[in-house]
Amino acid sequence: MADRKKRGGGGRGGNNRRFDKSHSKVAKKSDDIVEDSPLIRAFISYRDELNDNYDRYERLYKISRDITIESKRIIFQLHLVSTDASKEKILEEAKTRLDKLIKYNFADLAKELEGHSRYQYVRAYTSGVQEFVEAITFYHYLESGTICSWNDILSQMTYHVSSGRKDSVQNEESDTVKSDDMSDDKLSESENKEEMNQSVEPIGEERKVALFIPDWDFILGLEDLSGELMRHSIKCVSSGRIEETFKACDFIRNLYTSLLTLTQVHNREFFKKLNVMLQSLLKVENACHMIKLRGSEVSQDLLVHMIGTFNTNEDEECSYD
Amino acid sequence: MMLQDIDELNEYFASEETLQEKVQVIIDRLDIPVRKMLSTLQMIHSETGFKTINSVCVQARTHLVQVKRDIDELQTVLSKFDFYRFIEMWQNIFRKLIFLVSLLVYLEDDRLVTLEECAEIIGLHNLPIDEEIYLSGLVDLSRELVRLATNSVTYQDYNKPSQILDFINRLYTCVLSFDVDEEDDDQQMNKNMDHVKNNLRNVEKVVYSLSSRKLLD
Repeated sequence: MADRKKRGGGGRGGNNRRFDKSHSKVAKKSDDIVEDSPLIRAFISYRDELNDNYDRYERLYKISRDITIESKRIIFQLHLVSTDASKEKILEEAKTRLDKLIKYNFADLAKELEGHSRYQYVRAYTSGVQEFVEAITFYHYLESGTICSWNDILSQMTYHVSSGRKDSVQNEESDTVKSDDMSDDKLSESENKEEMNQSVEPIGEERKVALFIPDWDFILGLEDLSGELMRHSIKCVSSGRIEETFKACDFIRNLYTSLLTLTQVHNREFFKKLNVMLQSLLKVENACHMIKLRGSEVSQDLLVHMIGTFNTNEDEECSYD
Repeated sequence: MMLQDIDELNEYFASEETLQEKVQVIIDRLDIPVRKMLSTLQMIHSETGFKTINSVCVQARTHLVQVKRDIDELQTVLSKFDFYRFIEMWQNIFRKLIFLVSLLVYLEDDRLVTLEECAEIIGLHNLPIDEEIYLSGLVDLSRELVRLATNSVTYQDYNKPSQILDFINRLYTCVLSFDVDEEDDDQQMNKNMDHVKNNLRNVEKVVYSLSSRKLLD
């Protein structure tokens, strides 16, 4: 009996040790548990702690959802690049929206996560982060034709929190100017590197809070990026920017080839998305094929239609894993 | 059942688990050169790789050294009789290996690799490979060749698709000699045949679209 009760409250630190000592006395005294018994007090504190966890999870989830929605809108806006002439203007606007996300929404995320175990709430915000990665890498691709490194993004997500008023959060401008482009082999390197620490350094009144996000979210977001690039490249066919399609095709292929070399991956989601990525790649490759073969014969709209139907085996599962 | 019988069984399971862990470690290690080889051979689909297929092949072959080393180790750990006990652990990677080796040999020599040759290339002497796994590797090969045919048109090599068509035709003829149960739609063999046939048809489409434009020699 005593054993079972011990296990029931186990793993909660100092609180339950006190309870264990007094427990035998209480059990001897009477069977009914009085309102202010140590046991009840302990459970009330467990309840508060648990509710606190749930509330935090909900708040994180809400922040993550906001990030998802805004990122989706940014991606939608970025897709206008393929048809609209004012590329610079669209990119500029997207940039300010992305910066806003980093400055406000991710700051909220960092504040909520401060001082908590790193992986406890990962599931609450993973989808938002992935969507954000998709948006920001898409932006970088359109702007410079490269991938931005995960460290560069994370370095922008270090915030100063003043201990007096938690609300005033300032975005720390990163002084270090790293090169934005990241070659494919560097990508796999960064995967192997140690995870970022969530460091909390006291600086006088202010604390520095760095947001911790697992590298996985970056990798999974990159895999999603291929879908957007596929859509982008097909849209470019219909608007006649054929060289863009070829560029995107090479880019997706390089990305895919380098992601294939990741070993010791124990993430089911990764392989699912890798498979989707291959489908996107095949579609763009077929598009390039059609452009070369029939580009001069038919109208652009008809070409887009033909790309959709050419050499696709719906029922065949197609992957290397 | 007596308690000591249970103890004996426990010992047996414990020894089994140690073996399984050993095999898993080797398979995980084998995965590294296989993935490297896979991604190297993916380069044939990019424009630069397509134009230098020979050097891509040379590069891919360098990974075979490590593959052989790991398979050697696997053979010291596993006996012929234990091999199929762990089929779930190795069938995927062997399928991939057969696919890679058959693609490599096709790119080098324009011919179909045999099962025995395949075993020789990856250094497998004491352990058997299933014909079924061999066949599934060849299905992957045919699919890869559809991609190569499609891309070779993009890179304006119009003769490649008809060479590929020729090869897949030969491959399909070979595959047809397997017995198929027509009644049973779920049979893996049936599906594999259908995949090869589909891929054959897709290459035919590419070649047809070229020949109708008089782009072939």
